[in-house]
Amino acid sequence: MTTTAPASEILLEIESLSKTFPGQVALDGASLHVRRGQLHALLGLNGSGKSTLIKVISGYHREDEGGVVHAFGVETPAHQVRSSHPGRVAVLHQDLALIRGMSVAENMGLGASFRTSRTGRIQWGRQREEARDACRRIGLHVDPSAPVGSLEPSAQVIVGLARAIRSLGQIDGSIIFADEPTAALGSREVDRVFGAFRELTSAGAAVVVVTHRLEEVLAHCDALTVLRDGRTVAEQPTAGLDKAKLAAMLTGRPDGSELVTADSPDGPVLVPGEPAVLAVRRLRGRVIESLSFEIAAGEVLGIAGLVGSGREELGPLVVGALPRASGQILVDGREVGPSTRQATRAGIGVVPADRKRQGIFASMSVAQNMTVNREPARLGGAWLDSRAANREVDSWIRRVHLEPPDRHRKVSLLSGGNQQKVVLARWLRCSPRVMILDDPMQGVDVAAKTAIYRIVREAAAAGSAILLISSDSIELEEAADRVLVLRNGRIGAELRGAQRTSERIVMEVEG
Amino acid sequence: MTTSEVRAAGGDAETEHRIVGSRSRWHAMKPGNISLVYMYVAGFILFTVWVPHLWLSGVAQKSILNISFAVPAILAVGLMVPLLAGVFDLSISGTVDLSSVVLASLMIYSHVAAWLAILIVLAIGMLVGAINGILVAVVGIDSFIATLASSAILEALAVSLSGNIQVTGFKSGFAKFGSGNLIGGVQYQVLYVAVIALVIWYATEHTAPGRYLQATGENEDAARLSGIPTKRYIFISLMVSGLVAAFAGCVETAVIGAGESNLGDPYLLTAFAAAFLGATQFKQRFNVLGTLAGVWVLASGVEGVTLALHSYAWLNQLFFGAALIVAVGLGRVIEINNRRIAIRRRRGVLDQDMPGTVSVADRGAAAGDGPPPD
Repeated sequence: MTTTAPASEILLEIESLSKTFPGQVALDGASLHVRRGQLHALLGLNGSGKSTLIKVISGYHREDEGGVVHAFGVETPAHQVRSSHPGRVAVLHQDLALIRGMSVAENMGLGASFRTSRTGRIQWGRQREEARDACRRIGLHVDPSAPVGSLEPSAQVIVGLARAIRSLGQIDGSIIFADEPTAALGSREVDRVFGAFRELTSAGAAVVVVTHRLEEVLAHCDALTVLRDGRTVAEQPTAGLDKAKLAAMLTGRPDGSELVTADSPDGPVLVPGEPAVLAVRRLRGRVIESLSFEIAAGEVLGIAGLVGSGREELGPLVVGALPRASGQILVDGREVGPSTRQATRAGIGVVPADRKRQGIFASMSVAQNMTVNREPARLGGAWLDSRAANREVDSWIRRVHLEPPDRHRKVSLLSGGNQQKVVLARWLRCSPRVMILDDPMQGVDVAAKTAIYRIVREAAAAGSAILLISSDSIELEEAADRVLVLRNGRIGAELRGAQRTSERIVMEVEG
Repeated sequence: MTTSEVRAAGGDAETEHRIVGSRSRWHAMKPGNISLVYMYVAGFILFTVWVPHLWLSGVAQKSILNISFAVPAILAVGLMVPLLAGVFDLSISGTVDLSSVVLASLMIYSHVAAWLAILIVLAIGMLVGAINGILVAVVGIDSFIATLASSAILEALAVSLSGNIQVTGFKSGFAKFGSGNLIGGVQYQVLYVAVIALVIWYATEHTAPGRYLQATGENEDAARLSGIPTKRYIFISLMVSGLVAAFAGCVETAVIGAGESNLGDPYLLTAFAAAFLGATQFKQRFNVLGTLAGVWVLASGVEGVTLALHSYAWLNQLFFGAALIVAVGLGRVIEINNRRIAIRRRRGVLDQDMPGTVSVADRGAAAGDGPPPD
């Protein structure tokens, strides 16, 4: 590859980079070539390895053996790219790591160092001046004493970027990685952030941007690299591409290819005259605006949408973990109150998006985790019926193929996929009317994924309504009977039958 | 037979999945699991060699049981309930103060019958717990702050009610309520420990509400999403500790024969040290047996050192303070160790699938797998 361009032009050259986590291959021979002055998009669906790649390059993970990486013309182990070339690589992390309550100048100082006098007093005047200049250089005019939290989202991203590049010796010839900097931004704000990137590339830096939004790739980027299942499947300039071609690259299916067909093309439908198992009427939350939909018995309804579209808010709203501004939720035609207690009593079960914080009881056993929502008890709850509990837990361990099949094991010792099976089993053993799966496949490997799909299908076949909220279009295509695409808190599109292809979902999600 | 079993019986591929059953017996005997027992044995031998005549006498052992163990054990077991639910109750010492003064005032100044006075004091204890519960579960104040504040207010009430003097003059028979001889020199207060510990052990370990309480303390968000009314359990747990603390105040008042407005102060640290020590024993969470063992070992340690050296005013505080640090430090070590074992096990699984990939797995990835350190 080195022969295709002058070595001075290529700043970073990665060949066959692999990274294996316990139970999961995150990168499987990925490659990436970044040139000076290039605005380079790194694309891929969830779990394709983008973040892992950036984490390896920034030194958080060590790569497997076998890959070859040339950084700035020198062969360098991938995880040492940043440490072996100080002042030449900067990384902007997705959460920006800014402290909202502190000022722009203070945040800048925290990232690098404060200007202090000989007695150790911070020289606030100089500090503020430097912060103002650093932001102005990449196109942001900001009052350095303003709290970061008071700035609009795009300005916060640019402040984070200004702080990240302070560690660079010079802009020319350096590489800046940005992990989904625009995920939470509206389209006008996206343009401002890319304006800042453009300032850097015209000064001779290379910027590698991870993003899910295809139109911003086409509008702003020079070249792109697409990862799929940890492999690089495309490296090319963006010129001549359109959204449909990009979507096809991401999902790995050529345009208009045949779908894996579901049992019945439209899935289960509502029986006229009978109430839907779950009916949501004019639901309003913080982002969600007057959302209404129904789910029939046995139906898996998928919800797609970008970050900020209301997708993350929907699950917590339905289950009462976030307060509803207004609207009704009905299970089998009966209205459900606003608290989580009332929701669970009405037969709504939930697999929350944040498994560690909201799903599992880490230091409790598998058995306790499964039975915690309703303990099998005798004498009106006075005496735990441990034998009945064990029988029930064991039968569910078999049904969900828990690995290892040990009810005494602490849940924190299981892999992510197996933890998710435990949370699923917790609800399915109570035969819920409605099951909410909020991004259930995060950190779940392929084998466990298949098992979880199967379990969810069985629950649907037993008459439950399933609400599958997901950021993964392939997952929605494979598992959902019908897909609602959320945009700005409203339903942007409804896809059924043969329409609900991964490519179509991706296109509708991007709007 | 439940519906789930019927479904499971119809399921396929069930034969290839064996269910791993019971744990090895040795698991329970590991030093990390019952370190207190080993510590006690070591201490017992030390004092037997050092001061055999004093240490091995029935007087010394009964003094540990009646004087150093009983009332702190009642308090510690009560305190364990909110700790299990994930909240602190620092107001137990203030509750002891107030109940002591109220009990003495009612019986001595107002000539209220003992049983009625005790019932009134217990009601006050529950009221204190309910107020704490409102502050923590309804208003949403951090339990540490809320109960620290209420403890100060309770102490203030106790001081103003007593005029900052001992309230004395109980009828002679009342002392029996606390220090009356039950059997062979073992006093009534030990019976109270047994009864209260048994009830709380049963409720926390063997009932469904006990399990819900535990889940609330383990992960309140997950518990709420599991349909558990977590606020209610936090509220009830604070009422329990208030009630038990008030009872401990009654017992101690009877034992010393006076109402005192600073009676509870020395017990706060003891109760916390014992509960946290106990949390590293047997279960790796707060539990009744561990708490009792914690109180017993602490009481024996203080008694032994006092017998061997001398009685120093600062000895108790030093001992309990150090014990609390050891307890929490020990818990942290066990937790870190478990995380390491978990990572190693998961690597082992991988090793079989993909030979050669493990050797380069790094510490960074390992840290990324575990729960974030806090």
